[in-house]
Amino acid sequence: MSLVQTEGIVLRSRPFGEADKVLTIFSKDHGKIEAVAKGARRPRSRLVGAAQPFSYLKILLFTGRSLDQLSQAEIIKSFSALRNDLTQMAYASYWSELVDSFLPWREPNPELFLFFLAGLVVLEKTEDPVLISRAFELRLLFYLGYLPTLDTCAHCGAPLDTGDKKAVSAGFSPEEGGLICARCLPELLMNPVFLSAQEILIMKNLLTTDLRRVSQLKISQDTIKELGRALRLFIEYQADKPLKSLLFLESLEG
Amino acid sequence: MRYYPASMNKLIAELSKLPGIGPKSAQRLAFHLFECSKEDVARLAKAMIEAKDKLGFCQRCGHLTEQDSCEICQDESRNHGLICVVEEPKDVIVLEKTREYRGVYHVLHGALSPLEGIGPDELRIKELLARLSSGEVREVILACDPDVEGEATALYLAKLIKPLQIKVTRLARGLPVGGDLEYIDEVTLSKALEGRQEM
Repeated sequence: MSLVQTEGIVLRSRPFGEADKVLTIFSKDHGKIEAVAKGARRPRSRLVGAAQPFSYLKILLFTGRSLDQLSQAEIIKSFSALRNDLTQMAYASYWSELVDSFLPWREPNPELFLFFLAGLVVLEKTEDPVLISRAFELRLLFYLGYLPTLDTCAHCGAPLDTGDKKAVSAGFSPEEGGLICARCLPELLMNPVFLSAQEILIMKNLLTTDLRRVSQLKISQDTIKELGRALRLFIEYQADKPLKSLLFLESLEG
Repeated sequence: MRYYPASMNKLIAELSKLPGIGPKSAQRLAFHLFECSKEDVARLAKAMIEAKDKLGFCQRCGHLTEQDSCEICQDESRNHGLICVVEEPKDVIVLEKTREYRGVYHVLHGALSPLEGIGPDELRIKELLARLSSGEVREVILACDPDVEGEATALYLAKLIKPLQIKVTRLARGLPVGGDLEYIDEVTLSKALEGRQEM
């Protein structure tokens, strides 16, 4: 049993017992952890404001034998703007669910932590989160080692010359783990999504562009939609479950 | 639990399904029930069955009732042009206890939650819009919980209702009565600053 001090972002919170909450926190030094916020559902609790999703906190954890306990929490940035706009809130929830689903327990990933934090700052200020969300997905997959192969064929390993705009389109198969060259396409059992050479190029671009600048990229709505479809298939295949927040986003848009 | 006779085991198992009741409390309750008179136990069982059989939701507002429409909706002395939207029937009771509110209610039976995948179709939003279309309603008070889900629900409803030319308000967020400023968290305090009122 000991006291641990760290920083963290609340990914989700669920009610626990009579007046407590269990928080899933992405902490800088200890990775994804779960901690009980005692009394956080009582209006006069000191933790009530901190124990909300997307809060960026300085926390003091009491690590016991069973669940860790949140002993103190100081808000560094509450990201309240993300909770005051429905679309931004839906996207922030989606990002949190993505991080939560892919991040293993107690594995520190300070790079991803800083990226996630920066992402929330960008999300708070943007008006059109769709394209930024695509870039976020790609970078997240990169940091966690799930990035789809974009340079070689995921099936045979032959290099794909996608830098050339005239190059032919390629298939994108979540089951194989990335792009599939034209020669391997007929061998696949599942139907892949087809991506044009330009779409593949944009995907690579999104991977390296600073999130703050993503909204300056000029990309057609159709392309964004196509990329969204391909990435969603990939993410849901890797996560091995449908993401609830994506269904929610759909219900908002539909 | 082979220490108990089968019927006792069954009772403990059923009791421990209740919220907040662990195996130890379930045991205590089971022993208590065993020591009660048969009439008391029968009354309890009957009350449970009766509540389950008779209670339903008001067709209009979604509050608990034994009839088609609840007492609040039937009360002609209340202001039917003022609807207070809440998440759960429990919230109606809390608001009624203030004895300040004389309008009617609309219970959504939940709140929008991206992480639980609860979208607008799972809530009683269509019913609310139907009530608003009558033209009788002047104001809608959004009394959702002040958490992420409640906030999302309020924002969503405000967006839907505003174009109908109906006034939409929401409960103020701020300092609890009798609280100590020193112990108020930052988020609540900034909300209180935001919603300060002229004296």
